[in-house]
Amino acid sequence: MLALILPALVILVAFQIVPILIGANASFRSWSLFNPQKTFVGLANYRRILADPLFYGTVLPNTFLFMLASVSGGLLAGLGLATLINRRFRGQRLVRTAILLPLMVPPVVAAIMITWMFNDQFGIANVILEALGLEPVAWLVSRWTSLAIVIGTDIWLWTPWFTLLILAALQTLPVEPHEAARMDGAGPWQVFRNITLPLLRPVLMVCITIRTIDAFRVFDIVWTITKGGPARSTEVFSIYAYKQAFVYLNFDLGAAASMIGAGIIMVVGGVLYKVLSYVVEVSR
Amino acid sequence: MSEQRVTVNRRTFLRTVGGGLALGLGAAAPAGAQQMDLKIGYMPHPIHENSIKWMKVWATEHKVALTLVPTSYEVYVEKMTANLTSRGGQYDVIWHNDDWGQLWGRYLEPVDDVPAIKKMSRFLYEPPFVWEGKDTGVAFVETIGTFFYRTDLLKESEFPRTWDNLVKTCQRLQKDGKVKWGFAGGMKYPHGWFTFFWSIWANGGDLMLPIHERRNEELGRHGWKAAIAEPEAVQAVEFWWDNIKTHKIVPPGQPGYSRDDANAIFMAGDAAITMADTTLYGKFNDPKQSKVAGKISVASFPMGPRAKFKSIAWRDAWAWAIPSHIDPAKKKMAKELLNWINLNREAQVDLWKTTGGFPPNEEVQKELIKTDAVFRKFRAATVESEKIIHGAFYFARWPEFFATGIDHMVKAVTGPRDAIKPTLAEGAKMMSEIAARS
Amino acid sequence: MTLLLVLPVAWMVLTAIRPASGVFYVHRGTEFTLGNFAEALAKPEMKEAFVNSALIATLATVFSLAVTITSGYMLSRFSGAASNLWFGLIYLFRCIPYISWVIPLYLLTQWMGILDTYLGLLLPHIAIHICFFSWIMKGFFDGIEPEAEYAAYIDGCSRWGAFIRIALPMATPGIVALFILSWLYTWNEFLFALILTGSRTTMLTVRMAQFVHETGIEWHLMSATAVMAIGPALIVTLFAQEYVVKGLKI
Repeated sequence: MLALILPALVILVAFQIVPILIGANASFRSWSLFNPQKTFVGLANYRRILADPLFYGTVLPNTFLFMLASVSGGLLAGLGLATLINRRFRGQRLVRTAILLPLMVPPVVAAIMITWMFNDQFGIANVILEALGLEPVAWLVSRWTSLAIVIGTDIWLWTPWFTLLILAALQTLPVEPHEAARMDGAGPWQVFRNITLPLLRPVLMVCITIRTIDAFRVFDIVWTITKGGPARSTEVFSIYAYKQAFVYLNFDLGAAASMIGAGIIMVVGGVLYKVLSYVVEVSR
Repeated sequence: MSEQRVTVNRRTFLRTVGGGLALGLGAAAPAGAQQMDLKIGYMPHPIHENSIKWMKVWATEHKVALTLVPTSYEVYVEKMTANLTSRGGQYDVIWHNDDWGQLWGRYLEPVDDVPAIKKMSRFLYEPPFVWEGKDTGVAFVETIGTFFYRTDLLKESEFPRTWDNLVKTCQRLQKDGKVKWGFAGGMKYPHGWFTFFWSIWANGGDLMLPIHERRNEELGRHGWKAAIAEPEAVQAVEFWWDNIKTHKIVPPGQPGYSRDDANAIFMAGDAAITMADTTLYGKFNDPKQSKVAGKISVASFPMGPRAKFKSIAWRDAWAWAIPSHIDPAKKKMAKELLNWINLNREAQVDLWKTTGGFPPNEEVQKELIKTDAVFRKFRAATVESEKIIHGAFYFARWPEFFATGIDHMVKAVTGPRDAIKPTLAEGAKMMSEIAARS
Repeated sequence: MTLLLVLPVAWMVLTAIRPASGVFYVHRGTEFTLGNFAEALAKPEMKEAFVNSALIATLATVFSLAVTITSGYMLSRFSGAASNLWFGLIYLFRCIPYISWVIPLYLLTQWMGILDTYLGLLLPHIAIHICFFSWIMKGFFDGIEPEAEYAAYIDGCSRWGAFIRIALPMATPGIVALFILSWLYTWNEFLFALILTGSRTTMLTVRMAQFVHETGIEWHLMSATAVMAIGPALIVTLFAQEYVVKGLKI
């Protein structure tokens, strides 16, 4: 049985576990990027992060908001799309491929394009608003419009991911229960609610948990679109850690912030997984 | 056109020094039969590319191979810092920005013995590139901020000398339907120079006290005091608040602009005036990229009501540096290369002509003043100002210090007007604490 | 909704065919050009980057799938301390942001002497995929009722036999979906590509990002490159989808 995981384990140890341990080590030391003294300071770095009002007052609320909105948005859109296209219709392949398009653009480039589309002078967003007779908006100057753009982009980016995986799961489902239910005269919604959804739960559960963790750690699109601004009001936890480590060059504080964030999401993800497992059990 | 220059130079160079060089190489060849390879770490940018174009000329003559390792600006400092601290061998010559001097000083080879440095202004080197009394970089361009304006909208004599005048001029141009916005400039982190910083300096203020002091010992002696809550700076931020919300001479999205956004507005022909590095001149004036090519000129900063001088400008440089842990033979060749570029008149003039960056060799600058009217105008708008300062500070915590400053200024300019002062006071307190940790 | 998904990509395509001075107001003006594609491709580094990205994406996908299908199966079918530990590890590592370990990873690959080589980029990618895939595969195997495998045991099949003959074919749609996701992920990946490569193994995303530089963004060239990069991605996706359909028919 060990043979099943041995190759994976070796690579994992070398290229993930060891670097993570080095990073974790830095969080207990005085370690600036430009002058790594590496003197042991205990929990001092953790204390400084936890005492930072920006961290608990802005960064964590932003992160949770982002996580909730992005995961539920992507999940609902993906579930809807997957069920809609999981049948034969004309142009099926075209639609399926079109849905996957966002996955084919590097997130960084996509985020740069989105920023340009929401530019207050040149962007298409304001052109549309003005065509509708509305006032143009300076999108990236306020916290809430900036966050909305970032969340929207993330949903856009991840909807195809949900769609693809849910579609694959739908295709592995057995046909018999569906047919039996239809014979019994159940409508499409009832079939979906009572047959499809329970059968999809194992895959949904994994998708939701993984996406929750990843959304909590989101970095590149937020960094590209807002850099955490205006005035640090849209910073999420990875941006905060990144800024500490690579902008302020406090690798120690950045590592400590990463560890704190990892701790939080571990608990949140664990609880979520347990809850979802429970739901699956109950619904059986 | 630039390609042609290379070949012309290569030919003339060969003709004049070819013989002597062949002799020199012949003597050196037995020692190192293998060809030397210099790895250049840089950011893709017209200035660097120009410098590298000339490095290649030198390399061909000296039978040295150049390996070019471009690195995006976004991760340049991180990657170089990791490389320097771990003594990795990825680079032999690296791009060195003035405000990283204190981060990298201890890892860089002293380059005082490069003769070309003697031909440059000492101001460029002290304190940015000096570590423990030694120069650690060889400048390859001066980086100076200036105002760019549209000559089809404003005559040289009409360019505003004061803030009041700037507002009135912009409003007039907008009212007459000549242009969408009077001014656009980068504002968000890390581009506060193009709005907040110049206006603070033009209003007699600075980011730290005592004003215009850049020596760390002196700043320390005065208690590392940030100055963004002083009246001059508060007034500067209020100036921007008014420009956005009351006078409406700048786009409402400006607090979210990087310099790229602002430059795009200027190049699209939607702003009469912008503020940028002189090195943007090549791009602004390129008809392929810019709709305002051929109708731009430069001017010095309009001064604020509390100004202490008639004019002010910052003057810094970008340098090439050599990691101290590389092979001595490579160090020697790298120094020769950097010396050659700065002494080569043709390379220095080409840098100015193709990019708008000032060549650091002052003898070449003197020559250009005599022969080049545009260069004279650029000089007058910048380094000939009454007061010349450095555009950054040179303590290790500077990156965190200025990021915190810009963030609070953006917060102040997007909040209610009467909250500007307290917001800046809060920022100044944090900045002072950060600086004191240096 | 599909339109909404396509819109930003359409915008990018439009930007890619505008001249440099036309990208400010993409929706205005009538000058169009195909020159951007040629200009973007003109540099030999760009062609190299296409090859590098395709190579790394394919290798990383194949190797990760090879090692993770089995570990996902294990997570799903075997309960016990080892399985739980494995799951725990994967979970733990998924939670820690790249930010805290990408620089150590850089130093580590430098120390191993594989920085800026294919191997130095490939192995960390595989490490990332392992976590993610084992987990998703577990989900897929969980969704497949194990009764058929039990039946196979009774017919004298070994565990391996049951896995290969029964479970694997049933999980094909999931494996193909992962193939697509993994390939596209690596093709689009930015942070590792940025930090772990230098001049020898640059990836396409890094080249694209280099159109963003200190003097501004070359929208037209960046978009042109990104549009061209959709090509290989599209081929892989279509190929894999075709396979899903065929796989289902069998």
